[in-house]
Amino acid sequence: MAVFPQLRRQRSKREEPIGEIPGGQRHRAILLMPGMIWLVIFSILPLALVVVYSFASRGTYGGIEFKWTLENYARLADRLYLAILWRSFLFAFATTVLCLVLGYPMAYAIASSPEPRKNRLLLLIVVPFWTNFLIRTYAWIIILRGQGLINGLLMHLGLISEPLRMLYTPGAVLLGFVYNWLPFMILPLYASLEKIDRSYIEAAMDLGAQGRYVLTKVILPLSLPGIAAGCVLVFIPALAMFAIPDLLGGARTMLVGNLIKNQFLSARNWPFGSAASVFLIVAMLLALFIYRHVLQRAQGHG
Amino acid sequence: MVKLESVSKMFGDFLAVDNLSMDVAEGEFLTLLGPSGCGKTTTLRLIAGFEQPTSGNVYIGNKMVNDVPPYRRDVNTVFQNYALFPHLTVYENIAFGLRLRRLDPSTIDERVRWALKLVKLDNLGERKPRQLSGGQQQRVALARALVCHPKVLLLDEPLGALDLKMRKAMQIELKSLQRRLGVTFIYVTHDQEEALAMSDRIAVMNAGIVHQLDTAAAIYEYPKTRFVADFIGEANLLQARVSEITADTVWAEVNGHRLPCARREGLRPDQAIWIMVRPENIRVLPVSSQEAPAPSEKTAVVKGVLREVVYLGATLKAITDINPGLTITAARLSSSSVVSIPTDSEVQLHWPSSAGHILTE
Repeated sequence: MAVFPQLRRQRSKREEPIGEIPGGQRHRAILLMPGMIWLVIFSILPLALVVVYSFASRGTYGGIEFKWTLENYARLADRLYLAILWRSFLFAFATTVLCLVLGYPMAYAIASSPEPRKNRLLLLIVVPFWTNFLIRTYAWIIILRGQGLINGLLMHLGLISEPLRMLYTPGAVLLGFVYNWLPFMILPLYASLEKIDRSYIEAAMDLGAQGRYVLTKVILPLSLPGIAAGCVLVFIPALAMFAIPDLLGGARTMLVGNLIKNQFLSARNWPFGSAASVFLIVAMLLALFIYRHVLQRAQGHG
Repeated sequence: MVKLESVSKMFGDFLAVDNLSMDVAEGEFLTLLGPSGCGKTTTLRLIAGFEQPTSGNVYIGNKMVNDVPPYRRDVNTVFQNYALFPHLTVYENIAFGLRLRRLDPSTIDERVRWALKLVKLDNLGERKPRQLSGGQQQRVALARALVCHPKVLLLDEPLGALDLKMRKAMQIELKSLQRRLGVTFIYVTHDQEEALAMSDRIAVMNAGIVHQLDTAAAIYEYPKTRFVADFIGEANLLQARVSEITADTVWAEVNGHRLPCARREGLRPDQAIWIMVRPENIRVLPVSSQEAPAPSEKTAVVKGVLREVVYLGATLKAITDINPGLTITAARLSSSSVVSIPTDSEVQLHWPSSAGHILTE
């Protein structure tokens, strides 16, 4: 399954494919071999193990007993875990929506900037990646904590008398999520907005359309592939993230990512952790399926 | 209907349109013709409102529109790449402009169907643009613009992407459509044949300047500048000097040959000029031929060596070297006697003096 067919299409439009490989089918197999071996050993095999474990039982001392059961999946339907799954979905969904709302105007502004400034702005979007993700998240602790930057400033200005509680709240987790994934929304949005031929906008204006109508009837629909790609790139990792809730959320904002991590590391219940993982993978595949559907409709195959 | 008054447009340091003035009458088919980069598309975009003039005024229907945005101008455009909205069906593409006018649904439907019929695409309303051929897309673009009943239709090289056969067919169709609807057309092209075939008048442009604005016949037969003579059709351009002006002939001297030309006002002896002779006005005869007329006030005659005869189907091209350092091309029907003259033999070229058109710039 081509996960990002629009990236593939873009590339093949700009440059011709290198063409038939000399030696044909056999040479292609040789070229594919190293990558395939890598994928099988380090991706497919562990994944298969996770699926197998999800049907096994937990041994007395945290080991795995190969007594097949559906118990692990049934346990996910427990109210406690359903609440965690639901909360994870809400966080991922809210993150996606916030990233889209914040990212779309930014991507549009960048895409419509003149050439040298466009590249500078894109660079600014990418700059945070130069610092490790954990360090950036720790930085938020310093900004948000009781004696942190924000509280310090507000108290200094006399606007508040005692520190606001910001760290270790769901809000802090959402902030961390949006901060972390905003670039992943902006970049695909930018790519698809930048590709929109100016003549479509001119044609709409020529037919009598003003700003808002041009945006809703022409620019938005034409950037739908970018919106879908950005949403997938944000939603899927946000669904599985555990480090940000660990660092910024405290104990009360447990998400499915934390649940899985805890099952594997602290509770040493690998089968249940595996079942939760498989559930998550299915949810992600569903998201990708919806994405493909949106994309195909946007490309007029519908 | 459309009037440009000393319009100039600068892009940075580049002067795209240079002090251009023209008047387009209601119902006229006017073509802006010129090589790429001559300012013809910029002129069209100034009328559409996508560009603002750096100086000068643009009028549409007696109203100055310098500050009127494109969505409030009574013109519609057929874009070079058609710019059909890829996410909308053909029907919705055509209805786009009507929906903005808040017409009631039955009126919109009626007018979209009228437009589809107009461009003979009655059955393709539900297709997406990508499912259409280039020619069909071109028709949709035309329908989308015409359905708004604009006072002026602007067309930016609309046939550029079509193959030759389709282009020829569309030229005739466009022309008859324009006559039937009575809409003013302003048409941009770099294809002189297209311009000659369709236009009431042609504005020949180069480097931001209109060299000549006139009917197709006038532009072909009486070009005002060397650029026009050279750009429209084929021309023999001979650098010359006025040697004598008589009652109805101007004698010009070209590299030692004295040639009679059509009379023209405002010349003085010894003035540097160019003579333009269209290839089809030149006859080629063997040097010994008895048919050849004697050189006179009415006939120009030069001798030379036939270098090459190029067969082009209906016509052929005879290229003759004239001493010193001149080449003159004649075009004759393929059935003419030129075919029987061996190359590298001496020939005489002659043409009526009225076919020698004098250019001063």
